[in-house]
Amino acid sequence: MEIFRFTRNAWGQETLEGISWDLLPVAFALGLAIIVGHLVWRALRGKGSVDRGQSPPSS
Amino acid sequence: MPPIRRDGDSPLITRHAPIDRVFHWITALAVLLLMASAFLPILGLKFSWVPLHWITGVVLTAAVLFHLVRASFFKRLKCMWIGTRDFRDASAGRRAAKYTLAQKLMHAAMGTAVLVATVTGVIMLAKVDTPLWKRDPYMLDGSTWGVVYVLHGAAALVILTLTMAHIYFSLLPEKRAYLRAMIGGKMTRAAAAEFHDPNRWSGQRKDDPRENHK
Repeated sequence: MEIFRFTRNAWGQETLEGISWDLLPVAFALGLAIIVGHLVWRALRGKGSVDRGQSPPSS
Repeated sequence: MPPIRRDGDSPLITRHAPIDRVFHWITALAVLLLMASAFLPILGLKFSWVPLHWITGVVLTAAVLFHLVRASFFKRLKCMWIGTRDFRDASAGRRAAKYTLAQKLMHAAMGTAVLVATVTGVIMLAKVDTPLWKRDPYMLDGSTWGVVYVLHGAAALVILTLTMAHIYFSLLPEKRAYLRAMIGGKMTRAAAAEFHDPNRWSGQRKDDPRENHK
């Protein structure tokens, strides 16, 4: 997976063109990981508070 | 954490002024349009994305400038500042003032990413022919353009991740009062007291000495 995109200018020199769009799915996966991670943490926290005889988080 | 009470007979307090809500939703729409016009062509959906992207970018830039002026001169910057007290309060389970640590961190991260995307986007407008100006791709040399494009792309990817998280958290049932407040401006005193210390954020106007008190 590339981090950057490169191109060649009129003189044949390699120049930086931008960030690699290989990272687009990574950014999406990171967002998804935050959501799933929080959902799991939230579910475990709710289960823990029920085990301790407390009210689960309202949802 | 005690369950959220949704007592409808609680007095309502103001969380967001109408102008701030208009700013938020204009920014939200602009960011969604910018992400769609940037990422959909990469994913294979071909359309003439450049006009939509730069025009929406100009709208977002105007909104960001408006917010910077309003936040700097007409609101209390301190209420969004992240200090050691925020971390101490969060770790001790104490309630926050107007904004929780998580809200401040999200604002700082999203604000930084949008600022980077906006500044680099304004520079990149030099590469677009519009009715208002002619393109000048030689304003910067090739390698400098590369750095500008990298920063713009990196900021866009960060905004994608943060937007997903922001929308998810705004839809959580226990945070629904914040979403309602961003739509209607108000929240019940009881819902506010769940996460905010009434002695540090009263929900009154900013000339109230208790408002945003650290």
